[in-house]
Amino acid sequence: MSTAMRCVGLGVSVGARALLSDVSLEVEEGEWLGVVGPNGAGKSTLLRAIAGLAPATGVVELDARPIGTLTRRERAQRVALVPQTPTVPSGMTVLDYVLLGRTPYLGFFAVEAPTDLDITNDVLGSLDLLELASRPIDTLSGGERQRVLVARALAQQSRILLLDEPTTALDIGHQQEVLELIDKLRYERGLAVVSTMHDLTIAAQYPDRLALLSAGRVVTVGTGDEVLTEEHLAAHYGATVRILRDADGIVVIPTRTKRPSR
Amino acid sequence: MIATLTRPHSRLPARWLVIGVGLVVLASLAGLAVGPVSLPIGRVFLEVIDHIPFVRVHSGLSPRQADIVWQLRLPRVVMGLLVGAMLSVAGGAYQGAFRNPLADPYLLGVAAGAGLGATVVIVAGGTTRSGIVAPLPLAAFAGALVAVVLTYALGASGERRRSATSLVLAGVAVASFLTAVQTWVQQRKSDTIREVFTWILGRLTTASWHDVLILLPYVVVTSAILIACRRVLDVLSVGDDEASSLGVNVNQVRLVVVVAASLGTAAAVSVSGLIAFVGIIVPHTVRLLAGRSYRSILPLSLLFGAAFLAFTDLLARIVISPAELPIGVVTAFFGAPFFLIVLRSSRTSP
Repeated sequence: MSTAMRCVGLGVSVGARALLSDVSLEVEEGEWLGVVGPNGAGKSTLLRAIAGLAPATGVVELDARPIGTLTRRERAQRVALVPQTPTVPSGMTVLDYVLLGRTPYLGFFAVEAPTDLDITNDVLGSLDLLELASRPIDTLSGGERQRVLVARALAQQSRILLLDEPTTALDIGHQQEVLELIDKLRYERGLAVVSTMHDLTIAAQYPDRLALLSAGRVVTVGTGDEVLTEEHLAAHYGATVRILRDADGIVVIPTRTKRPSR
Repeated sequence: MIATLTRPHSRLPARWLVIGVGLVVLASLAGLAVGPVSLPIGRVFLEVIDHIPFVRVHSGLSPRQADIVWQLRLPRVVMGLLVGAMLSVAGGAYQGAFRNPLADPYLLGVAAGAGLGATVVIVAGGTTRSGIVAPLPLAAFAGALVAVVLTYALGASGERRRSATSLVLAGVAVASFLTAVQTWVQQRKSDTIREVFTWILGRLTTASWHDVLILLPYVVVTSAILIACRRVLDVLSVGDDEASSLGVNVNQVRLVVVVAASLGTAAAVSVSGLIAFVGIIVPHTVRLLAGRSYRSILPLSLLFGAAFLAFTDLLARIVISPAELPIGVVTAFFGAPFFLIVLRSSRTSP
């Protein structure tokens, strides 16, 4: 196992406001790191900084190479980001959209070679998307669309996959489908996955480790059991919850202490 | 692995390519056949064929008639094709670079900037011809670049990220300002007003082979650059951020496309005057017909734009024959209502 992504003392500021401060994290090849934290904690900013899209201080290393020494294209060959609300060009077919993932391997004026098409078709096949290949992407259901977004990232053939709230818009069945897919892919392809997560019960089930982010800082990193405690959630989410533990993992239950008096 | 691979849909559809070439040929033949002096159509075509190297046919036209075909009609047709192709490809490319279907040489102030540059040269009496490096195209290009840089700078300031709407609004402001300056320059010298006005309304009337030779290299080089950018313009359709995460230097793409499109627009404007709406109508029509990938839009805009302007010029010649309408009037007359229809339908569709 080698380290796919490492950041040390990572900071991102907009003007005088620090969005991230002193974040140090490591992800191994084939490992899944979940990032949890309240709204505005800096989860998306962290992913953007790892992808080289946010001007950051500190160190980010992709495959042991500092991100500053990589060209844009080299960077895009190493790390793929699936944003939370991607821009989906209306009318573009699934195949054309997934082909965009080959961009880091193509020069400024170049068009795709047959190998790029082969790789893209492989990806579509492995994600069960060949049937949908000629459908316009804006006619797909939420679950199908999420698979297409993952497909574009896989066509990038990067070792590091960053997912920003990959299941937010999905119902519980499709959430499981997408997360199982990501889990399978990271074992099969040795991908290092970093995903921000909204649903804490699910966050405890899939990633190997969780990082709790609050006000731009890493509060703690560990297994779901260690990170998702009633104390942590009270302190950083301002939430009153009970944590139930059983054989399948943990369940986070919001509790109501105060009821409005009638 | 499945044996039959699915093919990308962004490819240039051969059917539309053939139709585009057909329209260009048709428009050229019609443009050659029609004119105030009626000439037998068959002989007109023979006369043109006669000028192909190593081909000798006898057209049976008198030397004066042959001159009408070769020195008046054909350069005018070719000029219409070149200007139409250039304005359409530039319009489509601006739309891709700014991710805005309303981006157009006119809305961005490019045409107004080119107009100002050209007016300054005309007023200064610099229209005396001096080969490929005639001052008019260069001044128009300088004006066009100043305009697009102003538009880009103004549209970008005030918010952290460049939005398509603020860009177009800035373009409208820049265009108004530059038009005001242009009017001021033009009114200061009364003896060139007529020349400036003729130029502004658009004129293919006086097109000569000399004008064609001035324009041709600009059209070839800038169209080639813009069409070469077709895939990367498709990548921009996912937005600056995602395009950047795919390894594309978004600002570099924009710079290359905007400089090439502005140079081409300025060159076209400097020989033909301000011909409105072509850069927005043609790419829109192509988009509706053949899909939204720039792999189709740019090459097809070249063909359809060429045919469109050649047909429009034909109309300008015959509507109030023997007098002629300025071609800019015809494109605006058909372009504005068409544009409104496109605008409305693109709003109501999901």
